[in-house]
Amino acid sequence: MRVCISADQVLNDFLAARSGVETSFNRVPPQAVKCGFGMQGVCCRLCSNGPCRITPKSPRGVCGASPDTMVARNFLRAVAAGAACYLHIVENAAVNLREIGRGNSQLPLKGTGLLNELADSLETGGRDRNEKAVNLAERVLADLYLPRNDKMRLVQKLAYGPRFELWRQGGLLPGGAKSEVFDALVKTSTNLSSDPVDMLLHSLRLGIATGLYGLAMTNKINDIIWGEPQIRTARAGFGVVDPDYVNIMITGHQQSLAGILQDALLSPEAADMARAAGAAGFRIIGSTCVGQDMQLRAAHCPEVFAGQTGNNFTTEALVATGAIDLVVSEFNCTLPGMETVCRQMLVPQICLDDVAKKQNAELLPFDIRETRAIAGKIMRGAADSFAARRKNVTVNVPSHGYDDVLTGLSEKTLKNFLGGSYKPLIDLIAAGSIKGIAAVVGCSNLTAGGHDIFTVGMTRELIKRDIIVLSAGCTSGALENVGLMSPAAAELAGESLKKVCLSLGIPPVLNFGPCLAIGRLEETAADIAAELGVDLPKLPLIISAPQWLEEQALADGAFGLALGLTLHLAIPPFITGSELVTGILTKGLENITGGRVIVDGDINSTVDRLEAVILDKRAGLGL
Amino acid sequence: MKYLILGASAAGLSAVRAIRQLDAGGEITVLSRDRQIYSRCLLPEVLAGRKDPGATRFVPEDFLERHGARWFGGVEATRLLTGEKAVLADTGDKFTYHRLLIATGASSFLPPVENIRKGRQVYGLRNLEDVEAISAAAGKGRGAVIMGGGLVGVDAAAALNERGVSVTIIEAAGHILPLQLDRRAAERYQHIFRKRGMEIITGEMVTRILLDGDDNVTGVELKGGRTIPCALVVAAAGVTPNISLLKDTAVETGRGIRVDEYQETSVADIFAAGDVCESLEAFTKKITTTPIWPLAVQQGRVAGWNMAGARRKPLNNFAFRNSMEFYGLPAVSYGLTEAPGPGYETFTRESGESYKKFILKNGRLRGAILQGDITGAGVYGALIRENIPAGATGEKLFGLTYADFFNQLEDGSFIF
Amino acid sequence: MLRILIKPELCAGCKNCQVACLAEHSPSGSVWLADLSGGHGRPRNSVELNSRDLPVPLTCRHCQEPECVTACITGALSKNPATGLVEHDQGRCAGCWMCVMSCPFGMISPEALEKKTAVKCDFCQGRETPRCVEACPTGAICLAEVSPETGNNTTPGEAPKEEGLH
Ligand SMILES: Cc1cc2nc3c(=O)[nH]c(=O)nc-3n(C[C@H](O)[C@H](O)[C@H](O)COP(=O)(O)OP(=O)(O)OC[C@H]3O[C@@H](n4cnc5c(N)ncnc54)[C@H](O)[C@@H]3O)c2cc1C
Ligand code: SF4
Ligand code: SF4
Repeated sequence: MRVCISADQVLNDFLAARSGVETSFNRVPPQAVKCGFGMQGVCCRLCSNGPCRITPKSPRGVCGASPDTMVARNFLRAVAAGAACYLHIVENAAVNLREIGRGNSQLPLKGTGLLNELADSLETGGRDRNEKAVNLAERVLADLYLPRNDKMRLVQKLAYGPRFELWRQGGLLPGGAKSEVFDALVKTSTNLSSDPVDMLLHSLRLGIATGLYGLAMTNKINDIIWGEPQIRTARAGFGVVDPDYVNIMITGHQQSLAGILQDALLSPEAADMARAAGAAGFRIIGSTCVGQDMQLRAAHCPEVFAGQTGNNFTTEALVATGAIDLVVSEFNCTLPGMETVCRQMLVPQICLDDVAKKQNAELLPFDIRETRAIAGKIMRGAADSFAARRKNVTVNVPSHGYDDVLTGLSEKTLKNFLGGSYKPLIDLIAAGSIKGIAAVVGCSNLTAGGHDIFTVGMTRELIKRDIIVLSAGCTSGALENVGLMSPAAAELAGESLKKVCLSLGIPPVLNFGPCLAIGRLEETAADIAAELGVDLPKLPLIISAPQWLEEQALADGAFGLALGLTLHLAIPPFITGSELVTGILTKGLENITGGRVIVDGDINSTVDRLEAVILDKRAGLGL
Repeated sequence: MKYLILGASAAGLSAVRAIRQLDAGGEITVLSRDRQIYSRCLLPEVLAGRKDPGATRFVPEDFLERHGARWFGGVEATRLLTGEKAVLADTGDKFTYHRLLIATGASSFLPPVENIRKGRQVYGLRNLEDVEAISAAAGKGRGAVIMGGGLVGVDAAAALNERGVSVTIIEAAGHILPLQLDRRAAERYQHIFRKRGMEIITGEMVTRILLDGDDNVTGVELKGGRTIPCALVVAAAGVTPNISLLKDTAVETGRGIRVDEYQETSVADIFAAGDVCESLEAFTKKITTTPIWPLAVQQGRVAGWNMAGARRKPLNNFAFRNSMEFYGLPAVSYGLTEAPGPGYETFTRESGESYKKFILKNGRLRGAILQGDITGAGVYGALIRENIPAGATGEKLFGLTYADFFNQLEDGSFIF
Repeated sequence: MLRILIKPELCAGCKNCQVACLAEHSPSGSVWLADLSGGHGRPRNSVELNSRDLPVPLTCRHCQEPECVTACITGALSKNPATGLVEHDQGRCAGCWMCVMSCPFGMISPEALEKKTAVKCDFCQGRETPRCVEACPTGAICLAEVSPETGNNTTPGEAPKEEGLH
């Protein structure tokens, strides 16, 4: 059986040379046989009469559940779990912001400009920055904790106007976000809802809660705490790792937790500790989405943040370089498989949040009041590890990655880059220099052709057809590591897009950072739509999560569908066992929100179909 | 070695193949009264107009050629000269042999009914010629009487009904298909047939065929006195083996040619197979005729092997099995249709289209009927044939599959 | 000859082999899109519980002396002399159910949608590995080279190759 391959050739070579290390790549072939019922979403384990599976001889579960009911239940559960993850992130971020505002933490606020803006635009008010921080945080938390029949208050101010109206009329406005998740679990429990349509609408409400709070609000709070993104050129890839330093690898999604290392590692005590251990200093090694977040805001901590190394499925390989001395994780995309590699490479693990507690990690429960102490323990652990392990392991960091990755794009920085308005971009689209926009987002998986294979292949094809690509999520890690986010990639674009890129000095694939930045893409889209005076479904814009991996991605997807966007997936989200659910998601929904799912596992036919959608929308705008 | 085979149907052609498997060089000659090679079982399809006569061929075009056999179609063997080891044909030709296979099958049996041979529109349903004749006689609106509600009779009735002929079945027993089905299963068919406009008269017999001055059929008279007008009669009262050419020979016959388990007759070098012979049947353990297609094929094969010098017995000689489908309702049955006396247990289940019945004695299946849902029926057939304990009774009987008897040899084959 | 061997003790009862069979014989060939509710018919293999409630995967044996072929009145069923596979020609099939009646193992059935012809395992026609074998996560059904020595029954002596009549 052949090992799974990556779009990243250096990574392939590196893994091939490290045959003693088992990673997810090795586990793909022995897991190649998939369960057909699982694939189609028609296995139900909700009661002890089960598991029930749909076959021609058994077209309903023991309880009478149809394939439509089973699929809808499974789907809603997955979306609810994904939404819960993002809501957990925003909840922690808001609590931290509130505590900083209350003076319970030493952490400064680096993005006060944005705080002031929001205090106005969201009408949360406050006399000074601290009060504004507390007010904003409390309003967010209050919304999250509302019962389900109370609609969340900030939605109207966070959402694009025409969308809000549509959601209101369609009964899609979410009640308290946590209650929406909670009731989704109730609904999908044994012998409760059997109504596939109601469950799909519930998924959309979860999508909206996820998008506006879990994504967009998390970004804003992190911008307030850690500073707003700035466009800059950065290094990316395994090459950012310098073996002379004590290297702390971070994985997860919560900069509001991991960020406490940024300033702490720059302190004089830190320098001493590192020197005593025999190292040149401390470095944070970015990985997964929390690394993307730091990369986005790296202008605020350039000395200590070494750079972004890659995405979820490069983490095991990164540990295998031997140059990582400690892994700090606070959320998901911390693969269980990393634990074996850590053990092998003598790398201790620390978890800051028990939701991501790793079996062989030490749990250091995060407390915003104790950031110094926590950071101190992490530094100590890392330095000790450096001293203890370096003589016992071989360090081998491949020369990998790019030095000229354009990072720091956000809804605001892009607009500023364009001169304070999206007008120039709209003009380029109108003129046809840019055919349209593709938001390539989400995760990486190992099954859509291999690691990043679909993402990279599709992106290359999109830019060839003059469609500019904006990336948010693990797709960013993929695309920067193959050079598509470096200015030289302009050469790979179609003639007109290439010209645009060369004249602006930008690559044809723009790096918005982590999956949380899907929220930024939405704001960017809304800004463009507002400039044009149209609703979102009218834009020549598609969204693709080609290599979606996890439940969070499904919640993101539900947001995209609520926004009325055309969403491509290379792998069906376990729904094809129900004609009804598949029909609604791929067709029927278009009449409700304007959104729809396209499932296509072939790169060329996908790009053909996405291009057709873009051309269609252009035509709709009279372009 | 010179092989002579009389009959070019299921048994005869199966023997040709078997001989060739073992003897590449021997000379094989086949005579048949049939001018064409066809599957008799498909005649109802032709009669119904669903199949062309040409589409009833059951072997490839080049079958005889490929097997290096000479075939004389339309040639009837009239006498067997065992002393000379030769067969005389109606053409005057004489065919000699070293080994002979008689696979002449059977003909429709004409019961002793007044005018049955005189009436001009009285037919059997056995040969392609019969189909042509019935078709010619069966105009729309002209009635047909089917004498006998067995499989062939019902086949003929359904085919004619499909062509718009008004059909009456006369069956002596209390319901149609009395040898194949129990009353309940038969009634389910009767119900469908009647809805389709067929008339079914049970517990009755035709005693006389009514003719006009030119011997044209005008109707039939029943034992009970009732007369039924019709323009044609199909006699479907069973078959009788074609053994007339054996007159004045030492070849032992009962109803058919008596054969042993190697399909050899009482006279050395003469074999018989198919509808023409009688042999030890597996279910009844009695010497009977075994007039079903699978056994004709199998007996032909065994005969062929043994003619070519091997000593081989058949897999089984199980004749009590039937399959059918009328108007979309399929059925399969094996062995007994009713418990014949005390000591038997009967289990039935009916739901929607499906009717199932199992007859058990001392834990062994002796009869099974599956109507509607026939998937997996063969397992019950095998249990009856092999007389193996069913290992289940009651509800569990209805769910038996081969999983319950799983036994796999090293080469992957299954055995019971 | 290549045959599918069955190791019931390894079977997990997941029915993945059935899904695979259904997919292989569905228009798209894809497990994602095969209609599990019956719109694409039924799988040609099955997983049945034995009397001890343990799952047993079952597929056609492509018997040495196939009773289905012997019973076939149209020549639709035949044993391919080269591959030893028992093949079914849907176009010739008359739906007389002689084969369903005769297979002692219940491995050939009326096609579930039209119910006009029989269907059976076709060894995935020319596929290197039959789809069910590929899909089995436990190895309960596996491909093996066998040299058939016995018939499918208690045949005395050695049964030579049987091609059937078609
Ligand atoms: C309408 C109908 C439907 C049937 N349906 C089924 C069914 O569904 N299932 C089933 O199992 N069975 C069925 N049968 C029975 C089945 O057809 C026979 O069992 C089978 O054909 C027997 O084959 P055979 O080779 O022994 O004889 P036959 O098929 O009768 O063939 C006899 C051959 O010998 C030739 N012949 C006869 N006399 C001479 C002679 N004197 N000289 C030279 N050649 C001669 C004939 O021309 C013919 O070629 C059906 C029969 C009929 C008539
Ligand atoms: S269908 Fe049955 S009789 Fe025919 S080859 Fe397969 S297992 Fe043997
Ligand atoms: S795929 Fe394998 S384990 Fe699953 S039911 Fe089939 S034979 Fe059993």
